[in-house]
Amino acid sequence: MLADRPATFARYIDRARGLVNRKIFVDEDIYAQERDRIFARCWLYLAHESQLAGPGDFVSVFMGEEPVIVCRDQDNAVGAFINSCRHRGNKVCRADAGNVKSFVCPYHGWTYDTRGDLQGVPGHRDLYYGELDRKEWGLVKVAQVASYRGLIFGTFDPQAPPLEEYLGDMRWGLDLLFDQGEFAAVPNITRWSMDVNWKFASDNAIGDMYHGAWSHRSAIMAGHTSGNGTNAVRVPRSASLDGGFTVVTAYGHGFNANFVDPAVLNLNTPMSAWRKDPAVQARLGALRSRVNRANMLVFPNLFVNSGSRELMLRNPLGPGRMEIWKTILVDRNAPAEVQRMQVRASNRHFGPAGMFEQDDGENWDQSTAGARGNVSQRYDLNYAMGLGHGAVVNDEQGPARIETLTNENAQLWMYRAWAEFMDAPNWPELRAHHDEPRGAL
Amino acid sequence: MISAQRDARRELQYDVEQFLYYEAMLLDDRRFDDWLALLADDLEYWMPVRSTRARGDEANEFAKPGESAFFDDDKNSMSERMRKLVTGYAWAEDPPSRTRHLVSNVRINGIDGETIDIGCNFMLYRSRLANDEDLWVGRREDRLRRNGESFVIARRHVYLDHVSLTSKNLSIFF
Repeated sequence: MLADRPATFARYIDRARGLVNRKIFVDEDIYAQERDRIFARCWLYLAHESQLAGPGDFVSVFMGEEPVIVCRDQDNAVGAFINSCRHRGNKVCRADAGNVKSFVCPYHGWTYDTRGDLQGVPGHRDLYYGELDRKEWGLVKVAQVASYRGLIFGTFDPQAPPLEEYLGDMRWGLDLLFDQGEFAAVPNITRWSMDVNWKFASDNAIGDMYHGAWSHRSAIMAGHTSGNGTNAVRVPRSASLDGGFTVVTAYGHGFNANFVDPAVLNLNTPMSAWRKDPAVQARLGALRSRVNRANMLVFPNLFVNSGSRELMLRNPLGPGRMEIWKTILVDRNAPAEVQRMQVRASNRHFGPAGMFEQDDGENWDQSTAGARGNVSQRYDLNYAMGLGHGAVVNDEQGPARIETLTNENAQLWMYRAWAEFMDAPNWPELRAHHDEPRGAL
Repeated sequence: MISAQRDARRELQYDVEQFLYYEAMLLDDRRFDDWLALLADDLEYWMPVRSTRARGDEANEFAKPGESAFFDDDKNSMSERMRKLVTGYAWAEDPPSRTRHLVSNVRINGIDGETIDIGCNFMLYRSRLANDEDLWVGRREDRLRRNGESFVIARRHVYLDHVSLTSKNLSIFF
């Protein structure tokens, strides 16, 4: 289907041999195209609805490198607009969060309301002769804003399909988390940055079950009970093929899910109580009720962990740098002490000091550095684990999936989707020409 | 009498400062087991995350206890962190970082029996591999408890001046 179309970027991904060209992680021109074709096109995660409780509540975020204000307006509707005054381009809001009646540019005083519409222009009558049309000079709106189960997403592309279509079967994965309870974001976001290309973090999220037993071995050996705080300490010899499954979906989303192992998971802590709730089990269904935790990627850059209940957004800051934004979610209906246990477990697990995550930063930093050599770039990276063995199962239990836990099929799938986005001139073309999981990956 | 109180206060200030310099040296010399021994069993080791807020909204700058934190630890989890370092698989610290802890502006904020609350400022410099560099700056609120001729650390609250860290990790200690 794609063969008759020019494939500028598909040539960086060797599907048949499971290879990825290192250049895509460091090249400035490729990154410039990503800014248009990925970050100005995809639905991107913005915030959790609970961060915007009442009218005038706002958060400052980024869509790619574009600073964006997400705000609940005076009519209680959530909107998003670029945080850049239309006069000289300054940020009209320099706080990370808060509550406002309006956004005032510090440079000349142009004033925008909570919808981003221009209301006040000093000297409008005398200096502009009343000729400036304020309706034309509001803050640039994010073309579409929509929510899925409390997660607010936005896209700059008016041609993007509805959010539900974009997420597709990934909703079944996200529901692994959101069917567990009723979630609110814990106040304040953990932010840190590193010399890493954003795609290395994304490919880790979508399906790197290989690294855990090695990268994070020291934490497990030290007795750390994982991000959900409920794991018994048993040091695995290596990653395992069985004991879970892998899902990939259209548009580059996917996840890996491991099943509950009673020898590892402590089902008797209050933090495991939700697993015994028949209502939760009914919502999840038979297959998902067996899942311990899933590492998920909403393409391009949102990592969701259903076990320790975090959202980790990885925003690019150029090809060689990214910033992580970590938000913890807790079940509003859980007892306060259980919420506290969960937050503590998450704080100790993820984040720059996290017992697990502290070892990720330098690994991804090294992967990025390893892509810079002009000679190294002649030698592709190997994403071939399980290639040809990823039989896609389609049945009534869930969406298309591969019935092994550890493979690199999902990672390679993400890079295939990346190339689809990069080669497609626009959303209508992408909707018409993109892969769905079938056959054997 | 007043003079005697002043002398006792000066002596305490001296002892506290010497203790803070000593434990900074232990960390910089990578004597982590010795440092761990200075942490009380009921330790509270906490570094909240921070956000930029408008003037008038400063009360919301720091996350509160129970919210997002860089460190949200007790003695047990700090012991895990020390055990992690010596497993042979602690990649973030192998090769180990080179750190320099500078502690200053030491103030005794309160004394309650054996417990002394102090405030101080710190700069923590890290050099890693050939030329990776980090600098963390902030203030601490420590609660020390007398332990014979020395002290143990019962509480350490670390308030960074940073919002978004420019570091790939925090595999070191404050």
